[in-house]
Parts: sequence; structure tokens; C-alpha cells
Amino acid sequence: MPNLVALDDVAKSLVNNLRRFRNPLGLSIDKLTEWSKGLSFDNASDTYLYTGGLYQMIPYINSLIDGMNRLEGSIPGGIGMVKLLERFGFNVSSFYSSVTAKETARYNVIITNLYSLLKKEGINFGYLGDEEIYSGVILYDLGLDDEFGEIARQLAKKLKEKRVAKLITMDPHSTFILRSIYPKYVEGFDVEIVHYMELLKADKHKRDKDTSKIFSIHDPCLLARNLDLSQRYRDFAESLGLKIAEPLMSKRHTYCCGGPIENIAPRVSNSIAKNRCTQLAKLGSNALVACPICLSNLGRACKDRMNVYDLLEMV
Amino acid sequence: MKRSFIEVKKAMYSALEDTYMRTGVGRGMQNYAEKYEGIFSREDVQQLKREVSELRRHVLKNIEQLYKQAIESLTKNGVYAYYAKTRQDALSILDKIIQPHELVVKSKSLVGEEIGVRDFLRLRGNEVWETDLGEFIIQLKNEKPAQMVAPALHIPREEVAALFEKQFNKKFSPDDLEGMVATARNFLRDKIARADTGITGANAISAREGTVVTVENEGNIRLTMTMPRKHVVLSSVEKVYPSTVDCVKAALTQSYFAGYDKPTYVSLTSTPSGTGDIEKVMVRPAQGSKEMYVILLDNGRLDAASSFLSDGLRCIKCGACQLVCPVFSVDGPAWGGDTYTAAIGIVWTAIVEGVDSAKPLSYFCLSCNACNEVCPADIDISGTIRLLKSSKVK
Repeated sequence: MPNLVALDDVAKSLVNNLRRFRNPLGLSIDKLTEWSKGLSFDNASDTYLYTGGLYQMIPYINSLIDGMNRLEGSIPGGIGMVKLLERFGFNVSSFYSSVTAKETARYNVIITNLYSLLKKEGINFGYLGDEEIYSGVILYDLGLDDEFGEIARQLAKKLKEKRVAKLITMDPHSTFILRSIYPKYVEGFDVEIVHYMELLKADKHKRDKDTSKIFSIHDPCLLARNLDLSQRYRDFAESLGLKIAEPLMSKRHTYCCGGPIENIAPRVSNSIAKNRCTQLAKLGSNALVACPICLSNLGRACKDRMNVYDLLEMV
Repeated sequence: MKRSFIEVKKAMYSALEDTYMRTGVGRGMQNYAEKYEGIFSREDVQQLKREVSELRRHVLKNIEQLYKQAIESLTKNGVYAYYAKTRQDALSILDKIIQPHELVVKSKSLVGEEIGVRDFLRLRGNEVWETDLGEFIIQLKNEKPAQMVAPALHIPREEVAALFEKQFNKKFSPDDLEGMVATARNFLRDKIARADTGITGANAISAREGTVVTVENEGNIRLTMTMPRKHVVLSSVEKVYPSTVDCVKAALTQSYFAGYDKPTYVSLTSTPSGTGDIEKVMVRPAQGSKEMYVILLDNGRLDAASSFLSDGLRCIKCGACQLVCPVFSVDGPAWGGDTYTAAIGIVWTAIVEGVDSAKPLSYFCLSCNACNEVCPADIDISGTIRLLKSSKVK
């Protein structure tokens, strides 16, 4: 089997990127803040919107995983990649060859949609913009506790500087890590963490039901099991006029999209995602998720069988 | 066996191509997914879960005292009871109990897999047969168990038919499940009837009464423990509970969380068989075994009890966490150590084979917490696997 990517290579690359660029993929800051161009924020507010950067990273994650799959021989076309790595060594950012403006636009819209929903409810909030720091969740998941702690303290310091008392989060991973893990790593961390589903009132965004499309609802693991938001997620989807159907493993018993190990073992990750697609596709050709990791991983694995949408794309 | 991260990754990638394994595991998990919520949501099952998770915490806190008390109680009952610190110690004890010419029958025992009892006995000349159907299939294929309760989960009917054809020199249709099961039944009943020693596991053992509790659906454990002259129980130190009632609760919980709405047989065994029916004079044996032995294996458990792995020892080995694990669903037993696979099996691998063997496996955990959701002992399984990732061992 050709060139299986070693754990240390992935880990080192992520850590180095985080230290240099404040995000694990080594993206330039403007790619993470592009969505906010022309929008106004109240940075004097004690409430901030925290994107965590995950939605913005999706096209680059897709490109990275595609590259890793080529390199590891899971899909053809890895020879050029091997040569590149021999010359420059492993860095996840060597893989972003094919990201198009259309792709980045799709994921930026998800964030601006949330922005509009918050505004519509009259919520006042700031945004850290180019000072926003990634939460470090991937380091925590890899067991890199020291490096994670370093990032956590940086972000906590930044929030303190800006006198942020409350963060509105938009993905389950950042929400969980900030709410449940940060207090264990940052002394006195007391920023209130609120996921948008906990904050927004579903009935304020009511739309007529479109019964022509059925969405198989996929519960993101952390959203269902750690944040206990399965019901709110459904309430939201319903009020947005979506007709939803329940797959075999759902709510607290949901089946993971495979995404969390996509950078460790992309081929295993993809097999898991394909299994989930089979379960979801039994109910129709559209799937609903509410997590950037699920959106990326299921989006890639299911693309021949179904369209995968994030809840925030449906508003 | 210690492997590197890349070696594990290679094995996991090749397992993805194993069509038989994927079919078997896929069917098994689908069947489990369709029924477990119905069982777990029962009020009696929830109540038991609460009691047993408390009990497991108590057991972990008092593990040394409990197993020592069990050895005393068993000895008082006329049972030969031993503590075995290592795998080798357990085999040495068995070496003295079982003579090399004996026919040995055995029911499913993960501790037996841990010490490699089948190979050990065969190499010294014993004829050994597994009487649990799944374990019998595993024996025919010469593999490790895929899962805690259904060891042959990764072997679909088509492959079972092929293995049976080789063993019995007779064609089997893969859809003739009855025919295959009946053939195994006849073959194994004959072996059990002629066996000198029967080895079983234990779901739980009580410290106060010295009673061994087993739960099963096949009926093979009862035959294996009562038909041969000698009954050997292979178990481990963390399976000792304060009382027999506690043990029965644990056994029932194990059965429910393994996906059965009620167990067929629960057996309580305290002494070798005997009768006092003639003038109240005790004569051994009556219909059951004449001699009973219990070996409590440690093999890293007591050390783990005071380490970051301690929560893993609260496991009752129901296997529920494995049957909902997405990684297990595509990789089956390839995600595991020499004995234990997937989810809590990664933690068990760390306990019995060492952190260095389990750490490379730990990186393939999704941290999706599906395991934690179904664990009857409330173990933070994925959290413990994450601690393996962050452990400083190379």
C-alpha cells in the first residue's frame, strides 16, 4: 500500500499551522473573515458571534482529504503528490489545489444566514474578525493536551481583552469544547457559551411547509449526545418548512458521519460516511445536517446518492 | 501484540475490503440497532442500569478486598480457588488441574481468550472443543473473537457453511441455519458427554457467598459445567460483587444490554455437586461436577485500578458499545488488540496488553460518544480512549 500518512506528520502540521496562522489548516485570515465583508457588528457588546472557522474551512478540508486519499492510494492520481511531499515534507496546506470561489461562497452563506437570523431577532453582537482564534478542538481530539491548552488560553485571553461575557456558537464541536472543556484548561473561564439553536426562537422564522422534498435528518453526534439539542434541531427544521424523516439511528442514538478521523484515516472515515449515506438514502435524496464536519464528510461520501444540506442553508 | 500506528492503519484499511467480515458485522449491527432501543427504554432495565452502575463503582473501589473475600468464601464452599497474577500463572494452575490426555469442553470466556487457553491445552495434547456456537465457529476458523457476546459476528452464514463443510465433510446450504446448528449440537453434545473437564467463564462471582453466576441462551454453559467430572471457572478479579443478588443484577443487565429481552438461563453455582439424600450424608458428585475450581485472573487489572484506565474496569462486558460503534461497523475486529476489539475493547487492550499496545489503536476513535450512550455502567469510554491518545507512552 503506498504512502500511508503518519500520525505525527498530521499532528505536527496541524500544530505548526495553528501557531502560525491561528487555524489548523494554515489558511490566510482573509479566507476565514471573507463572509463578514460589508456587515456591521457591535464590538462594544458583551456578546460575540464565534464562528470557530469550521464552516469556512470545509472546501479546504475537502481538498485536503481528496489529496490524502490520492496519496494513500484510495483514489488514483497520487504520484505527483508523492513527489511534492518528497520535496517539501508533509504539510496539510500542500493540498488545497482545487478550491473554487463557488465552493467558498456556499459555506460563507451559511454564516451570513446565521448573522441575518440573529439580527432579525434583534440580538446585538460583535465579531472578533481577524482576531478570532480557532478553538483547538482538533488538538484535544488528538490527545495533544499541552498544545490544546496553549490555544485555549490564547482564545480565553482574547475574549477577556474584548470583555466578552457570552459567545454565540454555530457548530457543535466549538460549542462543546468551549463550554465543557475550556473550564478544565483555563482557570476562571466563565464565558457563557450559547449555541444558536439554544438562543433563537424557532417560531420567529416560520415558513410554509414544502412537502415536495423530504429530508433525512442526521443528528450530529455532539449536538445530540453532548448538547442534547435533537429536539430543538427538529423544531427548527419543522418551522423552516422542512419535511423531515427519521433514519434508523437517530437522536441520541445517532451514527457518526465518520468526519472526526478524516485526517487520521480518510479511507476508514469515508467507509463510515458511506454506511451513514445508505441509512439516510433509504428515506429520500436529501439529507439535513447541522454541523460543518458532517456537512463536509457526508457531502463528499453521499454525493452520488443525495444532496446534503446544513440547517443554516435552509433559512 | 504491539504494533505501530502505520501497521494498525494498514490492517484497518485492508479490513475494509473484507467482504465476509463487513457482511457479517453489518447484518449483526443492523439487527441490534432495530431492537436495542426497545429494550433499553424499559423502566425495569433503566432501574437495573442505575443500580448496576452504582455497584460497579463500589466494586472498583473495593476490588482487592472483594476478590480476596471471594477466594475465602469459595474455599469454604469446597471449591479450589486461585488468584493468578499473570497469564502464565493462570496457565500453570490449569496445567496442574487438567491432565494432558483429558478431553476438555469449554464455554465462551474472554478471560480464556486472554490467556490463550485453547491453544495452550491443545499444544500439550488435550482435545478441546468450544461449546458456544459462536466460539465453536471461531475455533474452526482459528481466529480471535470479533465481539464480546457474539464472537463470530464477523462470520456471515455463507462462511459458516463453508467452515462446517470442511469440518463435517458434508455440504451445507448457507440458509439452512437449523441444519448447521443441529449438526453442531449433536457433535458438541457427544464431546460434552465424554469430557473430563468443563471450563466456563463467569458473569459475576459473589464475595460473601462464593457463588458463581452465569447467564446464557444456548444452554451449553450448564452442560459444560455439570456433565464433566471437573468444572473450572476462568474469571477475573473485577467480576467479584459483594453479594449473589448483586451478581444476578449484573448478569441480567449484561443480557439486556447485549440485546436480549430476557435471558434463557441464569445459573448460580456455589459448590461441587452433591447429595445428602441418603441419611443426610453428603456424597459427591450427584449429577453435576465432582470438583470445582475458580481462577481469578489479574493480568494488569489491579494496576489499572489505580491508573487513568480504572473506569474501564467497571465494564460488565455486554458488548453494547461495540455494536453501536461506527468504526467497528466498517473495520470489525481489525480495530482491536489480541483479545478485545472496538470501543471499550480498546481500553481493555490497554489494561491487559499495556498502554503501548492500545495507544496506536486509540487514534481511530471518532470520539462520537455512541458507546457512552449505551454503556450500562456509565463509563466514559471515548473519554478514556482520548486519555490513551494523550498518554505519554511511546
